Amino acid sequence: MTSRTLAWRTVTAERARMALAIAGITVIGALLFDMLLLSRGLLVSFRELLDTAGYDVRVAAADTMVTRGPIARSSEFAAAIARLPEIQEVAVVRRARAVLSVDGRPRARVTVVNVSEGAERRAWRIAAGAGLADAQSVRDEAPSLVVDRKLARDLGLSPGSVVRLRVTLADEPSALPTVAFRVVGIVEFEFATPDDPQVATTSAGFERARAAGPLDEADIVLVRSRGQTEPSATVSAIEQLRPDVRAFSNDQIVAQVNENGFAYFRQISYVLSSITLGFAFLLIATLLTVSVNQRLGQVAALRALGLPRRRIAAALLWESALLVGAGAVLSVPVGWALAHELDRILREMPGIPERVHFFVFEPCAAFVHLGLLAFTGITAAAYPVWIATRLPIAETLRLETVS
Amino acid sequence: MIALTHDPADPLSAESVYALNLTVVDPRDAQAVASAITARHPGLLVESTRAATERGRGPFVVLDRFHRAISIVTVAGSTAFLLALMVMRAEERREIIGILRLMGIPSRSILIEVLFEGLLIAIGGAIFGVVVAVSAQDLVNRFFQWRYDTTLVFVRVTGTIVWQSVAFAVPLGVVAGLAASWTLLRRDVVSLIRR
Repeated sequence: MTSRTLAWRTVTAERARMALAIAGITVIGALLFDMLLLSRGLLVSFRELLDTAGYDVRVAAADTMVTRGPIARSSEFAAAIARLPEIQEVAVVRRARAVLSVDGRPRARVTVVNVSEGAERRAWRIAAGAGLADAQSVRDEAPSLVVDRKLARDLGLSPGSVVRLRVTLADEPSALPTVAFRVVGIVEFEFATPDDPQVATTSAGFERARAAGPLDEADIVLVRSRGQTEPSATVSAIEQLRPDVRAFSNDQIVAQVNENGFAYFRQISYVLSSITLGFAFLLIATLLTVSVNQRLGQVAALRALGLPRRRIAAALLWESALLVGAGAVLSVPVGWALAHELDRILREMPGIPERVHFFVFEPCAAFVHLGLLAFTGITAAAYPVWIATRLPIAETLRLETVS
Repeated sequence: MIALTHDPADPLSAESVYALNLTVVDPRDAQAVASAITARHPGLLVESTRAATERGRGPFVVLDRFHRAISIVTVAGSTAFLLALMVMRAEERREIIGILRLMGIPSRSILIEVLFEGLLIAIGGAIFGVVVAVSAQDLVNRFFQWRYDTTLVFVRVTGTIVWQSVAFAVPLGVVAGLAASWTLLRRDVVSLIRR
């Protein structure tokens, strides 16, 4: 009988025990898998969000993308950037906080977005109605507005609805007039967050809402590099144009966010992964040790019959491999299902874009997970193996006979 | 402070402030006062500190839910292991239980003995867990306070948390012990002593 067959028979002899042990390893393994997904999930998801927006460099008037001030003379600056040989496309983004009201509905705080002409297709996707560019040809007193799908649903808006917007200024008292806008389209914003509904309008509409005339300030300038140009080369070229602004490649933004915003989740995932692994080690080691202690007589008898120590050790390692292996394989789908639920909970956090996820599947995470569990299974079997291979045969058999 | 921040080009800057803190006679009137001021000065943002605190709690409420969900999963995993261990332990004492039953000791008495034993082990385990948590909280706080350069407290083992843990652990331990022994007690006495 091979060591593997011996281990299989030992494990399947006690089915309830086997099922409970595998269930325990599955749940703990699922938690470990989730923590591995969490350790990089936000970064992978955030990076994907940045990349799919189509721009590889972002320019702001601050040393960080987290807090930033307005970029003065933005049109002239954007035109200068566009003339650089490394650049394919430039978009200017302006934002303002506002209160949106519709007759018979509660008022909603929204962010009003304005992007330069031609950049709309990268900023949002039209779900119903028309885009701002299509609607500009229609002569209307009220400026055009596209609204977020969820906001449209909550306020019962559809193309053709008229809403009123009053812009509020940050850090200063304001009593700006209310401006009527006509909804021309329902859209899905690339960077929408559930707790911060967005609407977008034309440059003329934005200026009318701010009642400040053409300020020519931008919150951020988005840049797409040409062809094979490295983003770092684009960053250097832009920073040489104007020393009072900073340009960031997507890599740099992800690094900044990783250092500041997402560090908590990475750390909590490391802490919980370590605890989970320690827990799994203790439990597997305890189960195997108790199991070996119950079968000391059997082990001694096998050794007395001439079974070498390495075969006993191999049988115990196989036993551990069967339990841990079954639990590990089951833990991946269970962990994935659990990750969906945990992701749903964490995405309720304010300010998280709708398309960002905390748990993102990566094949390498699954391999690391299986590798860690395999390592845990082998190390947890070390002590029971030591007991089984070192036990005194004659004394153990005598004790078993007497008892 | 006003002299330091005063902008000579803006005469109003010496008279401008970012915020005014008010103490109302009756705290229950805070929201009514905020509404009254908003109605008279439409440009101002006025809210009660309670509303502001509730708004600021958003991320912490979500984190609290997340940690609770993880603790439920951990409890589920450890319950399975606990049951497996208890089943092994009960199996270990199979012959002893058989002999006790052959001596005429009723199953009920054996079950009560198992219950008390499980209770003692569960209480011991719960106390050990609380001691580990209390010892570890200082370590965790020191690490995160160093990492984020803050004096904020990240982990605090409160009385409520201790009671919640004990309330989970003790019944789980007792039930796991009883469930594992129950399968043995239902068996025939002869099969227990392997005859």
